[in-house]
Amino acid sequence: MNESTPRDDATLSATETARAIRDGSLTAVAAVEASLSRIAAAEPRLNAFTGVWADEARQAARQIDAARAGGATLPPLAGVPFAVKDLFDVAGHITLAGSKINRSHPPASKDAFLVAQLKRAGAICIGATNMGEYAYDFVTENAHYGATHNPHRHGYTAGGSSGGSAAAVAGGEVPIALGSDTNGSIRVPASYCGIYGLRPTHGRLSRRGAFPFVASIDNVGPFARNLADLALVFDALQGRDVRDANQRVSDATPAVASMRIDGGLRVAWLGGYFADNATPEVMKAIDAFCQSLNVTHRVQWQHADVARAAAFMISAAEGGALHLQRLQTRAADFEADRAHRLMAGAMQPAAWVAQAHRFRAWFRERVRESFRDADILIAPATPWPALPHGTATASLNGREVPAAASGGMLTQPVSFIGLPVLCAPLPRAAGELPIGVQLIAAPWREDQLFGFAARAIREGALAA
Amino acid sequence: MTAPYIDNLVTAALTALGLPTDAATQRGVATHLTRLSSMAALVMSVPLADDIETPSVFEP
Repeated sequence: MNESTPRDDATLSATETARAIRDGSLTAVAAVEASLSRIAAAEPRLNAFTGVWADEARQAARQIDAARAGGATLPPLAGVPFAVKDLFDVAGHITLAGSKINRSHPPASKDAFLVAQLKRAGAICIGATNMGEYAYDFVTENAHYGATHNPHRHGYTAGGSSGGSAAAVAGGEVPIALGSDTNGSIRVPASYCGIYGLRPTHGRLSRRGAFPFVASIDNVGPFARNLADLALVFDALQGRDVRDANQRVSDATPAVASMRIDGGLRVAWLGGYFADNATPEVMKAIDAFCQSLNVTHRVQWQHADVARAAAFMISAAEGGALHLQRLQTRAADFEADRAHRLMAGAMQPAAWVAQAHRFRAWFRERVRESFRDADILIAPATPWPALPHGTATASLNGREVPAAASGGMLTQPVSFIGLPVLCAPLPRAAGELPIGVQLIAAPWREDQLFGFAARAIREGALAA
Repeated sequence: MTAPYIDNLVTAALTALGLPTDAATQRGVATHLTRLSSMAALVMSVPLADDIETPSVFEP
């Protein structure tokens, strides 16, 4: 910070905010007020939030300030405002999940596990963010709550389905936010909005209290504007939840500490399907990233196209089954196209879905082999930068493809087998829309993702 | 234009699943089932050994 210019408390990082509150140069109340002011100014343009809980946030901030005044040692995120995708339970509020139907639900009786983890770390929940209806979406063009706009260009998608969380972070409304990622719902919006996003290993973080979509693939994770914040939040989110049957690991992997490690990681880029399904503009940015880090080793996943198809089918089947009763009784209260998609998913022959699940097991074993020669794999996050809202089809290397559904075609084969992925913003010239890169590691090796991303920042290959 | 077998499947399945059967729903669902059908063709074309088991998170 330059002492000659006033500090903009609204755009401080989470790390800076927590440090300033600890050293007394900023109060938690001031941090919250700065965030609320920024939200009030930006929301008419972004529409990132579905609910802002100013009174509760101010109350939590006063408690933090009182604790500091009383001499207490503050937890690592004390006073840092955060937002949650509107599918995480927050006690006292209705979890809308982007739907009209959930408006009739009672308020949540307790916080989702991850919300509780952040609050335990001292962070202050400011509100809930817009999303695609029931998380089945890559664009956040929500018929019930409006479209969320990309902070980099109004009228363009922020991505989905966690588009509100990504836009809120990229737009400076909050420094950190929570999202969910079944098929790319953290990585696609992170890429379009030019911020960092993490989809941890499947089973790393507790999903308890997050409204489900595809039980066998669903995952949750954080967004941040820089890597240090992402690591800080990820460290706070980890923890054993004995009540989450999906959680698979007991030991935490320290992300902040991993950023200091540069252990000569072996890096390769994913060719084949991933290069074939990205536009020249995206591949140019990926090539520049690889060249700047001297990454020349190339690997290929056979049948990545089948993996994407299988993920698509399983998502439709499990999502359709999850919502079947609502589709039977309240179909008119869904967005029409989404209702039809879920219905189609629910009526797939069982043999199709069973084969998709068996293929998943087979594909997982094949992909594991690619980690014998590499610790980190590099792939584009999205086929293209953000597209204008309402785009029906897009040109992809000579083919016309459905724009909204294809936004996740490069993320789906990765999340399908539960690998940890860190999505990071590539350097872009002023006025260019953001492009993100997927950094992929073997299961449970988030430490390598943070170590490699930190190295890439030091070498100027990633935006800090 | 959807294949007749898709239209027939949609008509039967909407009824079997207790879902609305109006024309707009039938058309919309048929469009999506056609896309799923092409994806299923891809997935079904991969020969898998009999001992490849479906992963499950369920643990007694």
